Amino acid sequence: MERPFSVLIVDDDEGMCETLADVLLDKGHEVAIAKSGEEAVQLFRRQQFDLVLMDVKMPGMNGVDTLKCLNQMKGNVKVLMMTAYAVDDRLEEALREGAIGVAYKPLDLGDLLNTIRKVTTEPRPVAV
Amino acid sequence: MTVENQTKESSRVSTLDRADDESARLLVVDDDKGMRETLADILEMEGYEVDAVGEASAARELVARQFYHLALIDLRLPGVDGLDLLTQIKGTSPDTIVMVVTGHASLESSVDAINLGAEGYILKPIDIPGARSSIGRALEKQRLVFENRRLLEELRGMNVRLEQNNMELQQEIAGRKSLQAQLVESEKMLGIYQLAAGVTHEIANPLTTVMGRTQLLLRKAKELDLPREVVDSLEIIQYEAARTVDTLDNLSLYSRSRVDKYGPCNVNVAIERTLSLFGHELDDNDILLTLDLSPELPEMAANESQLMRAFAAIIRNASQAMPGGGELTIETRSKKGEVHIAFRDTGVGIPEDIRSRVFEPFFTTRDPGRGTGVGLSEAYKIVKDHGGSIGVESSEGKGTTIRISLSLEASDSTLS
Repeated sequence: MERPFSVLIVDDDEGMCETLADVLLDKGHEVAIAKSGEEAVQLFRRQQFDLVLMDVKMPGMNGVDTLKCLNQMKGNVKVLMMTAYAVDDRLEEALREGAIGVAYKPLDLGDLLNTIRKVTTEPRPVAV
Repeated sequence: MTVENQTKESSRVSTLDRADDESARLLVVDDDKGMRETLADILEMEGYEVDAVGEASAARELVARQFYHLALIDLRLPGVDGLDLLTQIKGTSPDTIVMVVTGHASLESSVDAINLGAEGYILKPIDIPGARSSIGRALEKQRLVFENRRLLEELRGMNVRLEQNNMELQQEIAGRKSLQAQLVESEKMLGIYQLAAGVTHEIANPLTTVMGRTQLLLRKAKELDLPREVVDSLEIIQYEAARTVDTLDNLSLYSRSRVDKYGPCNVNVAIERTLSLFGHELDDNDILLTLDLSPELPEMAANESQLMRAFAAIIRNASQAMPGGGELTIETRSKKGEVHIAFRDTGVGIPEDIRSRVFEPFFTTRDPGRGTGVGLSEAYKIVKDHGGSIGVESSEGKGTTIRISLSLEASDSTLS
C-alpha cells in the first residue's frame, strides 16, 4: 500500500466528484469534495491537502479564480486543473498562476492516479 | 463631252476616290518623255500626286521607297520587259494597282499582264476620259478593299476584346463561386468546432463517472468472486466507454498540448525579430518598410513566440495585399498601461462586405491552395489569448490598417 494522500476534488458535477472520490478512497487516499470554488476556499481554510483537483469551468467562482484565492491563503499549493476543453483561454492563466498541470476530461483514471502519485512525491513536475 | 464636263466628272471621281484629304499617289513609267509628262500633267490636274519616270530601275527604286496607289507602266520600255517590271512592282508592293499602257492592240501581252496581277490596260493612243475613269474606278475599288480590310481588322480587334472580356467575366464568376464556397466552408468548420467542443464538454463528466464506477465495480466483482458473466459484462462496459473516449479525442480538432510560456517581452523587439524572419521578402516585393517604434515601450508579460506568429501573419497579409509593391508602416505607442501597435499598408484594401470576417478561421480571399486562411484568425486568437484587442480599418484601393492593443497587465477578460 502506497502512502495515502489527502485530495480535495473541486467540481460542480456531483456524479463525477463522487466517482473520483470513491476511486481515490478505494486506493486508500483521503478525499474531500467541494462542489464550488467558494466551498473549496472554506474547506481549505480548515484543512490541509496534498493535492487539489480543480475543474476550470464552474458556476460562480471559476477554477482559475479559486486557484488564485487558494494561492493567497497558502503558498505552494499543488493544483491540477481539469477541463473538457482542448483549448481553454483560462488554462494558460492557470499555469501562470502556478497550477502544476492540466488533466483533460473524460479523465483516464489510471493516468490520473499515476499523476497524483508523481506530483505528491516530486516537487514540481509538468503533468499529463 | 466638253472640257468643263470632264473636269466636273473627274473632280467627282477624285472626291469619291479619296475619302480623306490624302490624295492618291500615282507612278507613271514611260520612256517617251513627252508622253509621260503629258500623262503626269493630266493626272495632277485630277488631284493626284504623280511621279513620272522613264526607266524601270528608277520605278523600282521609287516603289521600294514609298507606297503608290497605282502605277501606269508602258509595256515597251527600252531593255526591259514591261511585264517583268509589273511582276517586280507587285512583288514589292502587292497593294499597288498596276495598269499597263501598250501601243499596240497586243491582246496577248495584255492578257499576260492581267494574269500577272495588272488591274487593266490602256491602249495608246490614250483615250483621256476613258483612261481617267478607268483609273478612278480602279482607285475606288482599291479604296473599298482598304476600307473593308480596316473594318475587318476592327472587327477582329473587337472580337479579341470581347473574348478577353468574356474570359475576365468567367474568371470573376469562378472567383466569386470559390469565395462563396469558402464562406460556406468556414462557416461549416466554425460550426463543427463549436459542436465538438460542446459535445465534449457535455459528455466528459458523465463518461468519467461511467468509467470510474465500472472500474470500481470490476474490482469488487473480482474480490467477491462474482460469476464470470458479471465480470464479462463489466469489462464490455469498460471497453465501450474507452472507445467513446477515443471518439471524443478525435473530435478535439486542436492539439491538447498547446501550452506556451509567458515571459517578459518587449513588443518592439518582437516586431524586429519577426521582420528578421522575412529577410529580403519585403524588399523583393518592392515594399518600403517604415518603422516608427516608440523608445518608451515598457516590457510586458507576453508569449513572445506567439506574438511573433501574430505579427508575421499580419505582415504576410499586408505583403500579399500589395502585389505591385507599396508601403508598410509599423508603429508602436505606449499609452495608459497599454501598448498600441499599428500595421498600415497601401494595398488593395478589404471590401466592406467581408471586412468583419477577416479574423474568422479559414476565411481567405486568396485562390484555393494559396493559403490556409488561418493567417489573420490566428493573429486574432493570439491577441485575444493575451487579453488584447485587434481591429481592422480599410479603404478599398487605398490600404488597410490593423490595430492591436495589449494591456501591460494580464487583463481579466482572459478569464471570463
